[in-house]
Amino acid sequence: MTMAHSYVRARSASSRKPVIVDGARTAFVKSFSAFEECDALELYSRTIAGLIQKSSVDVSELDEITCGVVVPQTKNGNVARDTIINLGLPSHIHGYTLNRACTSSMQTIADAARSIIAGHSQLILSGGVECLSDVPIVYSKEARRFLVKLNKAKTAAARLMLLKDFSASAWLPKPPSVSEPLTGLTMGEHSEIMAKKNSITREEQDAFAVASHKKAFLAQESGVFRDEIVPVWAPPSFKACVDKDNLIRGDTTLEALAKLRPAFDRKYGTLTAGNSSALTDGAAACLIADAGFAKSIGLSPKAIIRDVLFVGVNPHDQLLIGPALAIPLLLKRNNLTIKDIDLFEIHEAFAAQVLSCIKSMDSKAFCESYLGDSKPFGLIPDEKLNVHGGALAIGHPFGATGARLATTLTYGLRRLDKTLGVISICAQGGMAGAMLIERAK
Amino acid sequence: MTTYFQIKKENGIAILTFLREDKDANTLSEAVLRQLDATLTKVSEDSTCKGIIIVSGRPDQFIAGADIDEIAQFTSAKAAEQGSRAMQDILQKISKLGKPSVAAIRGACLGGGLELALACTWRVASNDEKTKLGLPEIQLGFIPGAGGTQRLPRLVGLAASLDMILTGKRIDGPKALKMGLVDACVPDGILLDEAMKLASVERKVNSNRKKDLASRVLEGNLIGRKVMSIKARQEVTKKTKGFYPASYKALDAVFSGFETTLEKGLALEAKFFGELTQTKESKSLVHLFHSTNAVKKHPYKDAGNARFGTESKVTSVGVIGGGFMGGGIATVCADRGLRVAVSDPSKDSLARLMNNARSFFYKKVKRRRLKYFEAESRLAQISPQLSPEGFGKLDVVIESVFEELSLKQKILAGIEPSSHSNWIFASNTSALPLANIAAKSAHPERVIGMHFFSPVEKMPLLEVVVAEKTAPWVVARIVELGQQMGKTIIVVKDSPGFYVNRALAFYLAEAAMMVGEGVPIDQIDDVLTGFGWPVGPITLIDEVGLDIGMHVLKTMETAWPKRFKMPDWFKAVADSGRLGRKNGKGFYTYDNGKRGEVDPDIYKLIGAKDGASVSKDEMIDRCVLGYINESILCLEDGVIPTPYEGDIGSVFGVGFPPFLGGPFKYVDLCGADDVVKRMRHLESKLGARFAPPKSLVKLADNGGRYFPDEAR
Repeated sequence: MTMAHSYVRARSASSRKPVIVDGARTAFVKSFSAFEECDALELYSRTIAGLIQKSSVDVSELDEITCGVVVPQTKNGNVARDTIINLGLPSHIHGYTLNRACTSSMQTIADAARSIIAGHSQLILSGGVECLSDVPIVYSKEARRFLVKLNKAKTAAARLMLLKDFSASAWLPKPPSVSEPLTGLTMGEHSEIMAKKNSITREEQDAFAVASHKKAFLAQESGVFRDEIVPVWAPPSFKACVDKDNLIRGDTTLEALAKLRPAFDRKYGTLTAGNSSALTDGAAACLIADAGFAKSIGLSPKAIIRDVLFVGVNPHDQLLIGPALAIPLLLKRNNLTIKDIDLFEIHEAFAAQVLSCIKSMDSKAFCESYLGDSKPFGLIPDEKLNVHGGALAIGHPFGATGARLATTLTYGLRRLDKTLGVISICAQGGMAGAMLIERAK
Repeated sequence: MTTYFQIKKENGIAILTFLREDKDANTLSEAVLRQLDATLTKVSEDSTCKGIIIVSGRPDQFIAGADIDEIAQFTSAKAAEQGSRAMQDILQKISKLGKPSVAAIRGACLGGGLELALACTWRVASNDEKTKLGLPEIQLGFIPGAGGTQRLPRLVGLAASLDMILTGKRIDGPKALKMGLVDACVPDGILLDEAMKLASVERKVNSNRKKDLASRVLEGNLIGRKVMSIKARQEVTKKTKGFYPASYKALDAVFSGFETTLEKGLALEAKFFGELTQTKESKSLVHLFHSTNAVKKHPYKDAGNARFGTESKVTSVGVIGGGFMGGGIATVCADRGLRVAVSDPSKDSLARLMNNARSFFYKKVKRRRLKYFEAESRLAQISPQLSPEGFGKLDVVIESVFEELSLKQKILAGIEPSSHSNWIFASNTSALPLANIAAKSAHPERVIGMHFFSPVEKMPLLEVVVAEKTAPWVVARIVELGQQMGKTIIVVKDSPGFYVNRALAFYLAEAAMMVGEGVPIDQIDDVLTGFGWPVGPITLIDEVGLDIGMHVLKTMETAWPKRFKMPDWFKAVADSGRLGRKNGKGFYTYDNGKRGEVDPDIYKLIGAKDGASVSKDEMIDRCVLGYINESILCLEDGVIPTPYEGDIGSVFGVGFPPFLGGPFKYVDLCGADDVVKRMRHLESKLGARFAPPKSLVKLADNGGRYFPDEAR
């Protein structure tokens, strides 16, 4: 057994069918709470180490570890590779980090699936992380240019010359905001537009949010999330063992939510902190494998990745409407209808956004203009949608959401004895993705 | 004649490449030095040669030092002094060559190797981890004898040189450059290029050390140096408790030599060196050096090669039980680059474990042993979990749970079905028979003992316990893991208490017995620390904990009911809620973790008799000969394969005085007949437990020794 062993591996067992062997995540917690002193590297390292142990995978068989992050801290630009080194995993495992906004870890899983179909890799840990308690604070472009020039200036005179253009206001750091760089509006403001356009009322949104909390609370109480959460002892003291989502509120009521003031449009708005997802810290990952290879090394898959699809829409119109296109397109491509799908996991960035998507898929006008269909695609029944609650209750660490949904759906199909499921996520920039998952027999 | 020095001339510079192909280390023997002498003569007479470079033919070793076997063979102080003078003269030849000389140092440059480098005009070191410079002679009970105590202070100053000479610590290239020990520190690839540049340059200033204020004030004048000398002497006494004469001689050589000429200093150094080689302290320490090498040559050494090859190492470890022990094991594993998963059902235990590990690594950051991100990474490599899922895929699993046989069996049974064919289960039991732990296993050949000593981060010893069914490849693999963890290892046979705890139990029981007879507790402790133990036996019971002590003593009593008796009162003391240091209540009182006086209530609890008078010598003999007796019986029983394991286990495991070399070396130093006589005396007074073992009597009758090859 020499080093080369891990680089040149026999690929005879390759079946080119991507499967999900297992998934895991940290508890999702409100930013600046339990993981306040963590960073993305710590959270992703703990998740990957936890998933390795949980899935009993032999690390020498791994090809890649990949990661999605939306607000990367400059320290660990490539969190995926840094995680491999940080954990002391075999150095042949390579990894990259990508940003496809909230579909980031859906993308890393999709990439793993594609790589397996192409026969390039057999075993990949794909996921994502977001630590919004630790985001980079940037200076204005003016200040950044000043600093770089100052660094380059060779003489004291040259340095002094620079000072003449110095402006004090340029030195105010620019806190990051959840906004569209090319529309000038925040995600909330965009969702507010969608609510108006699709006539989603405040009451509908609040009711949807309350339902999400109730479902999530029930799932939490009955131990559903115990299957997916790996406990993390939070630094710096490691005293607190964090193994429970802390945003879920089982006692939330319509009355309580009704009292909240609109968050994005003070005057006419319907979106509040109560019916929008909160800033969250957390990480999630799935072990994706070639079905044949998994079998050859004694791993039993929990689910099969059947198909995946991404779309883009006009960001100026309805920024987060993507799922309303992605789901129909994905299902049609596979000759399936809503009836064939047992469970849907549609990401809940905002209640207004999910409700807009649901309503649009059932709208003749929408399906006509966006899909070129003569009749509506159909209505997703409540009992199939987000049965364990969604991001409104559980939280939304941007980079981790895709892998969280894949994990939750994988376990959900098994627990509820169902066959087919779909996850779909909307993303910044007017994008969305959808993935078709089948329970492995 | 073997050629040790290859000469190659390049641009008028003679490059002397030193390589000993007859040994596995580049050491300086008499023959080597003689050849060096002749080579130097040749080079000095060559008028076309402008300078010389001395470099090693080994990639990882410059010169490992003088040949210790040759030093050990000197039978008188005079002979050793002459040996030292001879080597000094040869090194003087380098410094008086009349042309520049450069030591191009890559890898270990120790003892005589560093002294040779110090005699050169210039020193260039490579900047990688392999390069270590040091004067480890003190660890062998003598001092550098080839100019080290004279040239080093003149080059780097008194304080810095004492730091090296008194501790034997090893210094890497960058640090050596900073303190002025080397003149350049460069990447390995350009080491020779840099040496070539210097080889034609004469030195103008002796030292390129930057002097700070303290060294100017203290070292720059005679009064300052006197103050330093007194301070250093006090410091040495504090650290060595006066047990090691070499430390004082080192101070004398450095301080006196500094006030006189180099030539006179060298003469003084040689004299001290000669005297020290003949001390029992030095002989004991040299013995321990040999023993350390001897125990590495255990019979299972290559047993894993067929299965793993020679390259494959353990990379992942699982630890079951996140208590103090388990935490220590996990921390040491992570510190040595192993990935380690720890399983414990208690979240609090794991929190404590992670917090302790964090303190351990952050302390290293504070001392600049680690970079911050390295500490973070080591912490990340400890993965806590509430159940042992995935443990069957790891290389080795070490259980460190409560000493309960059924629990250990259950843990093994739980993971074994999911384990791979190279999977090893190691138990950190301190007393349970391994055969019983493996009794229900489907693969008893993969079950072994790893007996660590507490605290694992500090205690250097590991007892690898081989059960009857343990496969040889498993032993080889576990010894390798222990070495990866930085431990000194003895391989012992599965039997109650293994070796170290068994011998120790008899020692502790004897001390406890004296307490019952009415000897004051602190008196016993004082006498035995006076003998050289780091702590007294009763204090040690407090340290270990009365609960654990009780468990071990009981095991012994069950195993040897005729020979071993736990004092009747021991249970009463243990049951009185005294756990020792860990709950601040034991034979002694504790205040905030600091030991106070003997608890006055303890004697009543014990029901100690009044006013026993046991002489100091008898106290020592009862305890120490009790220990030695049991060690010899362990050797007879084959628990330890050779006396070397006994000495290493005793010195590194329980702190048997290193300057006495361990129980077996101690017998050699005293003479077996003397030990037999002392034991017979105790036997007649105290009973059969002191009857000398048969093998010892035989040894005494034959006038034999445990280590006949070593100087007495």
